[in-house]
Amino acid sequence: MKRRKLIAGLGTVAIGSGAATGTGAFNTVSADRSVSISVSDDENAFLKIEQRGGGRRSYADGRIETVAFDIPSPSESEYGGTDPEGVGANSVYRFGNDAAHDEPGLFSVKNQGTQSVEVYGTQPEESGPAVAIFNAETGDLLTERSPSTPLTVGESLLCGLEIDTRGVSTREDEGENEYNQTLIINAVANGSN
Amino acid sequence: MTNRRKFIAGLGALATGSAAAMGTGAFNSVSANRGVSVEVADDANAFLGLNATSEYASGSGSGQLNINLDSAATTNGTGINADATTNILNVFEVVNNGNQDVGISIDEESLNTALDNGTGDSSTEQLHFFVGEPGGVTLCEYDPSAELIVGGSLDTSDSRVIGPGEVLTVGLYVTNAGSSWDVDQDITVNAYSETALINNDINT
Repeated sequence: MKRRKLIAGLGTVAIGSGAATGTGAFNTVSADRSVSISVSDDENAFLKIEQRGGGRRSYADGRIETVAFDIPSPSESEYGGTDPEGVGANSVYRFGNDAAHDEPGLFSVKNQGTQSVEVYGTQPEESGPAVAIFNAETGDLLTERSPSTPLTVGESLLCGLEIDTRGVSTREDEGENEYNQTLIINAVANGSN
Repeated sequence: MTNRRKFIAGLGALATGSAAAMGTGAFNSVSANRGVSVEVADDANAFLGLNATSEYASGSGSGQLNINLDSAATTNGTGINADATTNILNVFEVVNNGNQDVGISIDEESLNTALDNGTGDSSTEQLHFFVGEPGGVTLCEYDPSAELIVGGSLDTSDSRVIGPGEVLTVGLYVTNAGSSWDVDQDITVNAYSETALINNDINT
């Protein structure tokens, strides 16, 4: 293909400062480009987070469905003939399954992005029960310092919740024994954390 | 094979003002039509090159760059997570195919306004573009003259300034507090030369 020459026939008028650096110079460029963004349910998002089991310790909640957890499950009494009211004080509990125990894992995290990611849990609150996540198959606690092994694109991780009530009041004197805690599920591409 | 674009600007007759006033052959006015040939290039080949470098961007090969954080992304996901903060490194790159240093900014204000955060407070930032790593320098519409002209000339050590042939890697930060978004908005990618910045010839 013949390379075409760039010819700039700017007589005497237009030799401003910009053109002084030669052909190919431009002073400003402003290019409009389109960006489209959708928010997806956890089930379809770039990081797929999915509740597991039929016993409703985990469930999909909201107009855009995000996974949430109820410990104990509202249907806890349907399984095993018991009806626990909550986790014990001054204890560390692990929930690696739903109340129904019909599927392994309390919830799963699947990489639907484009790079391998390491998964771990964090929590914004500093008071109340501490909430963390662990690998439901190996038992490894997944923290920022010690995240999961890299999840390749398309790979899933079965997770459970660890709840630590050491030093936490049962709130019985407050007539309100429920804590609403926040779990942040982080997925970070290798080498970028 | 690259087809080099031509740009012919035949502005011959503009300077004939005062000099032509004397002698025979004087005339009062001339209107001379001259051709200006402009070729429009694909984003990848333009003076300001815009290249998709991730599955979240497309179109730079045969037209205009699009950024897709939805089902158009070539991933199994159909969108960002709700109630989550997403950082994507190296979504696309800006290439300086001109021949002088330029400062880059990205105006995403209309996009941010369209991304309702559910509180009615539109001043909260939902999205911005950044250079390199998350938490790095943002490319928001800033006052480029104030930030990039240091001591009367372009601060070439600033990560937002790229020289001829150089590439700026653009990442994207977006945070969602649970609002439902299905948005398609334009952003504006700006490149300013030192002269434009000194003259404050800024797209606002």
